[in-house]
Amino acid sequence: MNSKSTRQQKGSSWVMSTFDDVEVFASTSHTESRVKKRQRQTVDLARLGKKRHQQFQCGTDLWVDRYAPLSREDLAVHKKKVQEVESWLVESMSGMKDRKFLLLTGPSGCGKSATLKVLSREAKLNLIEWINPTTAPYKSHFMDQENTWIPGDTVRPVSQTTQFWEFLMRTSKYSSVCVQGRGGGNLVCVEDLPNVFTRDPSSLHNMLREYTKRSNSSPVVFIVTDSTQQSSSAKHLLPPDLQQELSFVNIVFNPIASGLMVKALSRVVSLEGSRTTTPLPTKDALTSLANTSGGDVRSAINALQFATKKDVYGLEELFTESSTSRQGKKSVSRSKSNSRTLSNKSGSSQSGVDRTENQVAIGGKDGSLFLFRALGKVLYCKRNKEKGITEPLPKHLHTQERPPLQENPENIYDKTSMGAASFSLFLHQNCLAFFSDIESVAEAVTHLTHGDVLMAEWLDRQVLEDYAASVTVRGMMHANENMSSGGGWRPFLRPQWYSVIKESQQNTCLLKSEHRMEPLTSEELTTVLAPMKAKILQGKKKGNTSPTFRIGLFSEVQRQTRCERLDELDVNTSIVEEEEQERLGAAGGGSNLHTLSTPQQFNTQDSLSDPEEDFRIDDSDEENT
Amino acid sequence: MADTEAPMDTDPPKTYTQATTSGSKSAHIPWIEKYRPTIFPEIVGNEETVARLEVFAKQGNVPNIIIAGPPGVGKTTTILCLARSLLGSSYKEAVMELNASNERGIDVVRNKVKMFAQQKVTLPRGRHKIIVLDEADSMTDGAQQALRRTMELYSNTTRFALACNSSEKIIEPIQSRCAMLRYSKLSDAQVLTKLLEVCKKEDLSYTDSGLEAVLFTAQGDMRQALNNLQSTAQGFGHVSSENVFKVCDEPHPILIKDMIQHCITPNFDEAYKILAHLWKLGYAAEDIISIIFRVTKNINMAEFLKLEFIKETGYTHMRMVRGTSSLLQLSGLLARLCSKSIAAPAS
Ligand SMILES: Nc1ncnc2c1ncn2[C@@H]1O[C@H](COP(=O)(O)OP(=O)(O)O)[C@@H](O)[C@H]1O
Ligand SMILES: [Mg+2]
Repeated sequence: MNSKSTRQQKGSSWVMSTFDDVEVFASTSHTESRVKKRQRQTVDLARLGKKRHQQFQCGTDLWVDRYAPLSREDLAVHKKKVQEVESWLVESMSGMKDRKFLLLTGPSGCGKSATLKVLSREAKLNLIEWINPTTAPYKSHFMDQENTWIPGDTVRPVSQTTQFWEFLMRTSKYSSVCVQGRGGGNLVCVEDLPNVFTRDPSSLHNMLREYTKRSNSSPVVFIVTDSTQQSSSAKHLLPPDLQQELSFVNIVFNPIASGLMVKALSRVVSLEGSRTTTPLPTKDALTSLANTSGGDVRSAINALQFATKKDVYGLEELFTESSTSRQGKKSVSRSKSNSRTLSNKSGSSQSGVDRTENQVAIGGKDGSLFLFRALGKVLYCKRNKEKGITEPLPKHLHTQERPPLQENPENIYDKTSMGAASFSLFLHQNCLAFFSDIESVAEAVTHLTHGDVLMAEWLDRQVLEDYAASVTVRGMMHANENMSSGGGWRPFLRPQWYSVIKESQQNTCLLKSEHRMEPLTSEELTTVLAPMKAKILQGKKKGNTSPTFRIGLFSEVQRQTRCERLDELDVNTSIVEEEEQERLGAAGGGSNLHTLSTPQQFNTQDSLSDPEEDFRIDDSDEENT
Repeated sequence: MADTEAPMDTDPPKTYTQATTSGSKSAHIPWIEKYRPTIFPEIVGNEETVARLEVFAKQGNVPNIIIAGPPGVGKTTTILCLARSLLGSSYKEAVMELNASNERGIDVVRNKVKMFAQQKVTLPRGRHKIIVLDEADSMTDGAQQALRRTMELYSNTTRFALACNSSEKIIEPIQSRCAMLRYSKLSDAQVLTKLLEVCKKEDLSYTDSGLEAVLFTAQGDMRQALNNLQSTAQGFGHVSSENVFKVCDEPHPILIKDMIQHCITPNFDEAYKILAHLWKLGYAAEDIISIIFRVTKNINMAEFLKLEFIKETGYTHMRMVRGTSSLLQLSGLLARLCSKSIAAPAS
């Protein structure tokens, strides 16, 4: 620790260094920092792990903190990713050229920060994190309370940019600001990026250019969570050309595969099990939790902590689907088969699965469960055939008569907790397989377009959205006259629209950075300039790899079907882990890209494998139709 | 729903009993506050989640939570209950509430939230300070970004409770750091339970159809239901369906229902009579059309016609949103609705 050991605890899980905006977290575990504050700690990770869990009987911290991964075995991240990060660290620390900046991207909760923390701890590096300092005038107050000096807070307002620069300078290799004597060097981590930079990324860029010129500067790791918001995305903050210029290495993390997720959850459960006597969730329950957590391990652990609350209805009730489960078993089999087994065992315990999922949904981030139910209800469109036509129509409309629906369409939509726009995208993507003739498809799509028009009005969106949802859902169900219950389950896919949009954004971004000086709109760039230029280049030489060439030739259009790889999280839906995909692809001949075995699809399969199965939804409102 | 009621006469009765003062001793406290649940068992609906939170309230160490759901289902109430039962007498110093009316830009999040998180408050073990961010979906993206690291850094001492209408507007990193609790709309039966309780406590005179009318106007929103009940009770002293719709300044759904029924028949003249009447009474086109939509959804009619009716109503509403809220538009709507079940002349 440093000279400020007198400072009282700050609520942080990591020890603070001299400055408020600097945090050291690799050098010491937060457990120790709290337990024996003044004591110099020895880092003995193996011992630490055990000790930590014994000492914390009180249970006042979050499970994500309490059971944070301590070694690389604990990480739920794919081995390859960990290795990639590690080799960058090694190269960077050995002073290799072009290893000044690392960029970690990926969806939230996929272990970016955890990996960095664990690796730098293992390598005995001082991981120093930038935390945005408070900006406004809470001066004297602050001094008393924290007994710290916060740059810019007491004396004069200093711009965030300046503070950030000063921070970078303080962390330079030979500076003694941070924990000394650990052998390793400093490693800077920036996750909480100063918000000035989102407004004006170029000031960050200039600063980084300047930073590379310093000979003794420490390597910097940027962690940027994928975001649908343009301004906080990695592309905006650190555009590709800048990354190239400054030799950034970008390591892209994927959503956590369900197998690894189960493993991580099991670890948490068994550690928790060693300190409580309450029953713990079974492996099966964990699997279904993992499958509904959208590849976000932090959210899954949060949901687990929330769900695993003593004496509410009893955990067995909550989580178990069958009593054959291997409860309390600590070792976890290799994950590969997990998702597969799910699909096989569904038949026997249908209602069990249903209930389990219901329960896991409490506290879980992922709304896909609701979504899949709703999709199933709309597309399988069950009717009370035995009741016959209850509301006859005039003769000429005979063909439009339908037996009453089992579900009220508006109720179905209400339960998705999703906007009408997203829901109709999902319907659109998946409806085709459910129709037996082209006329019905045409009718369904007509209603989709009506819904689309109603939604496009931005003035009073909220009001019109309800009309849109009604028209879309009702239209889809009405058009589906001959829904055959044969054919078993069909997988639900995520709308291609998301991946297309994403790809198009990426391409535009690439093109823009390549043609920075040309005053063209993105449309002109993509539809005029790029194709033209590509044609010219094509004649000239082989092996041209510039984005213009690749995009302009539309050479990858055919590959579009790959898009079911889900890595955009704007709608919390199914996620495929890339590695898993590869593995499954390899196993199954790798041809069938449309029916990729995503965890969610297994889910779907579970809840929908029997079209006749009753969905139990507590119908509260009046029945009609 | 409100269709059990008799008065087919299209004139709302003009002779209502004078506003009595039966409930006016407490006229100045809104009932939504007066009857806001203070303990978990009083919260109706969403039992699973509420029960779970109740256990947390006893044992402490609540993770960060987001409660998402439509308005007036008790999101804020739940969070306040939780905070109160967790923190008891330290509520004042250990809870910070920020709602949409407070300023919640990046700086506020960074400074105020951080400062509160750093403050020392002595609490029993397993208890944490709580920062309540109500209507969190109205926070800017930047402010939410500023929140995410703070949430982690101070998790030892401070927990967050967020309420929002749609979780889609909460950024992923925040969702990832919280347990997501989804509240669904309250059923009419659930709202009714509460209404009956209030009626009893306030000693109201009411008719069943009056309460049904309240339920219809509230559409599963408890806040709306209590407000409408209170306004009716205090305005008229008696909760009957006419009084309720008068207070809410909504056309009576019975009339609208008749009108739609005439469109189904189809009998344009009769349908138009009702419309003209409503128009003369001074109801705004938007109000009329919203009720048309609401009634159409719940009326018994052929699936095909219902779909077409909703579609046409939607398009008409869209025109109104764009500024043409005229009687002509509404009449046009009726004509189109009527034409739905008429055979095309050519065939
Ligand atoms: N589930 C409920 N049980 C009992 N009363 C409720 C419930 N939901 C809402 N209310 C009443 O409605 C009022 C508004 O509820 P509130 O919690 O503020 O809704 P919101 O979900 O919009 O935050 C409360 O004062 C309370 O009186
Ligand atoms: Mg509220």
